[in-house]
Amino acid sequence: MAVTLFTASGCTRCKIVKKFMNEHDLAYDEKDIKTEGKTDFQTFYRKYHKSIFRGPNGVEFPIYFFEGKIRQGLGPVLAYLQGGDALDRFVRTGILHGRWVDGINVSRGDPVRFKDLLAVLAFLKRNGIKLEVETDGRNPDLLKRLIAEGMVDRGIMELKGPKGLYSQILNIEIDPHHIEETMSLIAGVTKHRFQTTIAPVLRSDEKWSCLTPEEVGETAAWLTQATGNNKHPYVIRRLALTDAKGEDLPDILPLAPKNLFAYRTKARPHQVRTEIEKQ
Amino acid sequence: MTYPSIYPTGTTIYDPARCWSGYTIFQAKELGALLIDMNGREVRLWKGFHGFPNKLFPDGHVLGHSGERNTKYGVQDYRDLIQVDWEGNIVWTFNAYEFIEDFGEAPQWMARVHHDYQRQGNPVGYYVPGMAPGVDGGNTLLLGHKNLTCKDISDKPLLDDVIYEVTWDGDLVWEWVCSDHFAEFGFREEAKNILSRDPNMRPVAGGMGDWMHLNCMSTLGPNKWHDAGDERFHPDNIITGGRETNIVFIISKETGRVVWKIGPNYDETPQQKELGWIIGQHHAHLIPRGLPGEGHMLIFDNGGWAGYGAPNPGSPTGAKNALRDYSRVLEFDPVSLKIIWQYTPAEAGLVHPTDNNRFYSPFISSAQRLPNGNTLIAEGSGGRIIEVTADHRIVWEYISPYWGDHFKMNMVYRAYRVPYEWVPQLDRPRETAIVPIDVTTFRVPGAAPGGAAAEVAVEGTLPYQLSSALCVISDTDEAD
Repeated sequence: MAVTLFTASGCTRCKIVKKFMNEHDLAYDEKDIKTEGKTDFQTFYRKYHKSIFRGPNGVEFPIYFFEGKIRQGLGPVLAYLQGGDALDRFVRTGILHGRWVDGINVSRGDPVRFKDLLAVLAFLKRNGIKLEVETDGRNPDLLKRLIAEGMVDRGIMELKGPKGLYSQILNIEIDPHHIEETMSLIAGVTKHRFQTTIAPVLRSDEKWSCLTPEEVGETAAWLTQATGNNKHPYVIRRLALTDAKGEDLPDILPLAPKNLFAYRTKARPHQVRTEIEKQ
Repeated sequence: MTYPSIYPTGTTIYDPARCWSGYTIFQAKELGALLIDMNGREVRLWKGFHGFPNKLFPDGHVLGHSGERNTKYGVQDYRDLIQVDWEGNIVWTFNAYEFIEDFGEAPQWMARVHHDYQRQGNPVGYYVPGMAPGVDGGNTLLLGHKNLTCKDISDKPLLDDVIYEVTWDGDLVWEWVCSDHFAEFGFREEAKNILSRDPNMRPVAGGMGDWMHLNCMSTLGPNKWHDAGDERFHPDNIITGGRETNIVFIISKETGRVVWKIGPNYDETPQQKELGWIIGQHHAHLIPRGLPGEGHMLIFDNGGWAGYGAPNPGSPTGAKNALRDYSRVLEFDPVSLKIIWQYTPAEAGLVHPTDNNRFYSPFISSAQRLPNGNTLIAEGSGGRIIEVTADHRIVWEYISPYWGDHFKMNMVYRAYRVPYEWVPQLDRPRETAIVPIDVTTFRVPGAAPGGAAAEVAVEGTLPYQLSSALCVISDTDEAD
């Protein structure tokens, strides 16, 4: 049984994956969902629709399928072809289209697989794709190398919270200098954004509660202190249920949108361009 | 608009028995916030205190602004909203809406407030029995600006309108962005077409489309419609209106959605046709509970030029495609759209249409319902403020004597009447009746008195008739 690659006629991203597979002599059975592969895809979709990501513009292609393994979208398929499951945490299905690929997160993956990640990203760049890379401050060395290699066209840093809570939020010991180094690296990328998602935090009393406006204010102040700039694009995000998937978060409902204003108010004295993410 | 070059300013008519007497505050052009009594005495000037508009609150507190953003970079962006006391001391201020860095200017926070604001306690910003705005606390709603792009409207940069609420401590707690609701306004395809190509581009900072131009904003307050179960009229809901689109609408404070509107098309229902095409309107609001006409809409329907739609001879592109050369003040039922009361050239005693433009302010202007049923009207472009009775008699008239140096008009954006009790610092002023001058006999010094020195008769002449000298049909023509 061969690898199945579901593609769509005219899909540039599908062509890039096919090019990669051809260059690496990887055999596959292509099913174009707009022509002869339509029925096969319908059968496949009926069976696996819970595993298929459907974004605002519909189902993302290409889709890789082999022995129950499904990978979807340009980045995740290439990452899987390059490094197998090991790159999964580095590259996830994104929502950007056109010449951009997102869903690349330098903080989540295993640094020992950096070489494979770099190979995937370099291949994308050679094929005219622009890369949006995310970080939460972990693995600053990897980020530094990616930037040096020209692999970061847009950098996004998820600031998890204020300095005093960072380790607690990520549930691992964090050197604040690494976070600050990352802030500076991201600030140096021409297109960049900082953001904080208002998520639940396990407090020292073992109770969960959301980040407070004051803590976001402290986070914004820390960003200013670390980068010497109070005019970064800084976005307050409401936790979406999809964000919470698989993150071992407690069952706390996301904040009502109107409650985000208090966070913006507290952040703006430190980061004057703070905005609330439009949903 | 046949203004003579010489005419009196200040108070020109005052009938104390019929007026709801009090003080009147307005922004004297390029001078400051000016408080006058019924005889036009200037009882207090907060010099240089900008007002877009100025409002006077109890205890002699005044709201206004420290100034406007450099007009090279912004359109009607006022830097802040400030409350000062009788002595001009700042009691409250807000500016932290957007951090602005304009070339050559000091970076600074700005409120970007324009046209209107409301303090908790009072829905409309003028005197309502039992509903005084807070002077030492309470939230404030501000109408502001935000620059953005919205591809659904146009590919051009937009100067969008926002409404936001701040606490007394300056925390922003609510925000509404107009362009987010573009699909709810009901524009026709021809309107979307011209709106896309020309969203009322203002030649500032590279160009920005002031596409909606909201120019009023107030809450509904308690009202009979909501009492009867109509949630569109929830007391917290906000009424506003777009000068460029001819739309007046109510937004839900809870959801932000447009829940009631008139315009942009006034030809879609018999009720709207009866109401007539509202053009470039100002100061749309619901008359608050406790005032005559409570629950009715009160609007200064400017006329002039506004709207987006199909091209016509007066608008080759479809921009500002609705035109009318006179104004109307309308009080109407917001459910049936039936006009309850109006002040138009007809009620002003002017011949239609030949003399209509003597009641005409194509921009700015306001209308305030007074407790005795009179209406204070600022016919703004000519700097004329009048108080008219329910039966349309002018019982007070004031012409602003202040022309700007930068903008050479004596325009009055809005005027507000407040009770004497709101200014406890002053003794109640003397009220002296001013009988209207008979302009047929009044002469300026040096001018000859009226009346022919000699009269001669011409044989065979006929008596004058109604419209014998007119080239156009007027309401003096009688049908056969």
